Amino acid sequence: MTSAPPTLSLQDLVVGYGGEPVVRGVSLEVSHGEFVAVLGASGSGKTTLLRAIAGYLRPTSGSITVAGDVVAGPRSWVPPEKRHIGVVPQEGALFPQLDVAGNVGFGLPRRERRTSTRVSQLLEMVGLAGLERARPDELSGGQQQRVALARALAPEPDLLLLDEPFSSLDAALRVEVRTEVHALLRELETTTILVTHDQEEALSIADRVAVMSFGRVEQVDAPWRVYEAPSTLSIARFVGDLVELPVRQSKEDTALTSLGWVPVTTEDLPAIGSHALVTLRPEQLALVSDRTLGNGSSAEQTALGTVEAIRYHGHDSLTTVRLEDGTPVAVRAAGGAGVAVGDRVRVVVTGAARAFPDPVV
Amino acid sequence: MVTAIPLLYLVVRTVDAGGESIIAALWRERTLETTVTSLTLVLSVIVGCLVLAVPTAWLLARTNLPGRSLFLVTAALPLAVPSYVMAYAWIAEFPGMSGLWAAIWVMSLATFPYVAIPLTAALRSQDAGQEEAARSLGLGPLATARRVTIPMAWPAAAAGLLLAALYTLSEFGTVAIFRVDAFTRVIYTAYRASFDRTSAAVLSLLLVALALLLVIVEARVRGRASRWRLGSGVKRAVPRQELSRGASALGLTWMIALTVVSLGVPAWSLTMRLMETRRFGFDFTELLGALVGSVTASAIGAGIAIALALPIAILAARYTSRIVRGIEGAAFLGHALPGVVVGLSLVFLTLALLPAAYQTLITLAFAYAVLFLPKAIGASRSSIEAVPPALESTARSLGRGPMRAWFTVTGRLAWPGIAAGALLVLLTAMKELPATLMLRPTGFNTLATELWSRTDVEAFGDAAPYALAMILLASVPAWLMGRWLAGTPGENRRSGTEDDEPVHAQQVTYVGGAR
Repeated sequence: MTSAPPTLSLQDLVVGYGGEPVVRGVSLEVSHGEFVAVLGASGSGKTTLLRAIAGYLRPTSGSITVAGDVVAGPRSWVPPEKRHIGVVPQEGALFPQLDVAGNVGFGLPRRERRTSTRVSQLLEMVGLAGLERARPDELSGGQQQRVALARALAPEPDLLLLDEPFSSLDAALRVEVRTEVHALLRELETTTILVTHDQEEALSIADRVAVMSFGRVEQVDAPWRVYEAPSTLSIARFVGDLVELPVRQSKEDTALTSLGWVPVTTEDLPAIGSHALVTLRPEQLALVSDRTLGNGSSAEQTALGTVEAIRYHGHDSLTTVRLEDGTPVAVRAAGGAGVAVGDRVRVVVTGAARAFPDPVV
Repeated sequence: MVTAIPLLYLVVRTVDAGGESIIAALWRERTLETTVTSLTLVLSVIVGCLVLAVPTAWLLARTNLPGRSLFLVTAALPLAVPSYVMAYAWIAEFPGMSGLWAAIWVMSLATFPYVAIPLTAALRSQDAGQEEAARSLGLGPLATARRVTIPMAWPAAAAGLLLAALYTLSEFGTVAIFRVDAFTRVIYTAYRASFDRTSAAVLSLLLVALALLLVIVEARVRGRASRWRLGSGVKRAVPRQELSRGASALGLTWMIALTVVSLGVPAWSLTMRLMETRRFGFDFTELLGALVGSVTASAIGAGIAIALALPIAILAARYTSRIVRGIEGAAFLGHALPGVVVGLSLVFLTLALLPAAYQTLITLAFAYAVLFLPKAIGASRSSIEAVPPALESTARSLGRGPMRAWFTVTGRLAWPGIAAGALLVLLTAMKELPATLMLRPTGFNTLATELWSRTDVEAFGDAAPYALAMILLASVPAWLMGRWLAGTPGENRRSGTEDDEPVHAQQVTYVGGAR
């Protein structure tokens, strides 16, 4: 494992469409069998990056190496058909003139298309056994995506690229298809890059998440690191709900905020200057009724406020509390919050906050 | 069903003639020769259309060729030149032209836009997704073209080829000018030599059978025209290929050469003839008389066509029972009915049943209505379809009766499309030649017949003003059709009427004009 070259290696990749580059210097390594999600808002350059890896776009500079071979670099260019990279496009892009079997077998050598059982094996693998003769327009959106996946997997590519493959499906189906595809690719040990703007999707199925913004990869990390230890404030905001509090003063490893004195993670201590923000995830906050606050917890880490709104989701709830100094904070609780709008509550912080330079100042 | 009456009568008439004379007419060497000639002509024009249209469509749709928007217009313009006017222009400039090759040459030039324009639209509107997927599955550029691009663009090209083939098969003027013994000319000659009308009837039926065969073959090779795009996201256009300087020069040369032979030569020839005419003086009252004749007959024809088309169009747009589809299909047979056949059958019909109607204006107008009924149906139907039925039912719920609701809501909203259909029939009928020659009252002249009589006696100079008048009249539907062809990719007949802007719905309206 250690001696084998990474399946994909990008070096200072710059890609554009003539004018300003869209991808501005991306370096990334993906090792065999890994599932990496490229997460970014629309316009962040993630799809352009994927199209460059697939070979649909020629990079302006930098290099792309697949399984040790340079496929795009200063002096080399390998066309998409010679890269052994499978692609599942956004809408599936099935060939409408062919039936399902014709689509799945499209990338196989002519002899295998006719005789081998590979097509039906693949269809069985993606849960569409027996649909060989169906026409693409007779399939549901989820089935079309599965056919597109089987088609991309048929030639056994070194690397599989998924371009927002689940975004056209409705919410319930999206989770189902996503989970199945993930399990299948894991079982096949297929090296995969998933491009998505859906942070929940990226965090839930990837081994590592590369967060892109304005053409650059800002952080590559395990999903929990991206969520709990984002390297910038914009990543922190992008990957989930965020409570942001200005720092009034700091003392050792704590910062004074509207919620009182809040502990800050050691790695972020250098960031606490005069103009800093601390951030907390809503689930790091909890509500206690004003009266029941025991002597055990320090009153310094709490603040009083009024419940302003409650968004109840069944499995959890998000309560907005307006603190006495006017700052709104979001508090997530498993199940219902047990309070009503207008209740006086005390907000308690658990765990440590992150700190970032305040972008407004 | 009115459309079918002339054809049915032709069958009755042929059967009446008795088995022996049918067999005699069929088994003559002449019949075989005619069939071979017509088929050679049609197949060669199909090949010619492909040769002219495919490189053109690729250059216009897939490359960064300079001036491509201008060339898109010039590639559509030959539709404005009636093919026998084009034939006349060529023979006036090169009097030596005659025979099969001359007819193939002119018909290919006259009909290639039927293929080039929908093919351009189809190539342009393809989503990049499929081609990219093919590349990622290991296909090179040529294999991608063969296995993805061409199969996906094929329905558009096949529909265009069918139009070109039917047009060529039923073309009378061009084959007559170049003295090619194709069906239309042989039928007309047999009819003129009035002792042999059974042979004309038998050959007519054979011609119709050939036309139907073309329709069936096209439906087979086109295969199932499915929705060419799955899913609903925004589609990404295929990037245009950057041409090298040499390739650009080659592409420009091709487009300019094509423009010169399809438009330049006819324009030059007509201009020269026109100047000769002015030198020798020209009778304008005669031209005016022909124009009045054309407009009168065509306008009555358009009126009859719309009156026949509306009930069918309303039924076809709102209900889809088997009977309705059958009626609509029968009306569409008109596309496969050559003018010479309709002319001939109406001659027989009037002589046998209603001698008073023989060679009257009303019979001529009726022939126009039969010939161009499909255009009228197509136009009215798509504009009626574009009106949501909910509007009409809302009007009913607000207390209007069915008729009143239709006229105040659906009819009111659909009338521009219906009127455009009538205009299309009117303008197309003005170009009609063989049926006009057979059915017109004695002494009644139209632009087409005047042009014909002058080219017939090789008075080429005198014909130029008539040719010019015809081109001006014909450019109106050609322009409309060009807009339609450019606006709707491929076969997707109904797309765009519902969710696109109204202008687009108007373009779709002319689908009947093309088929």
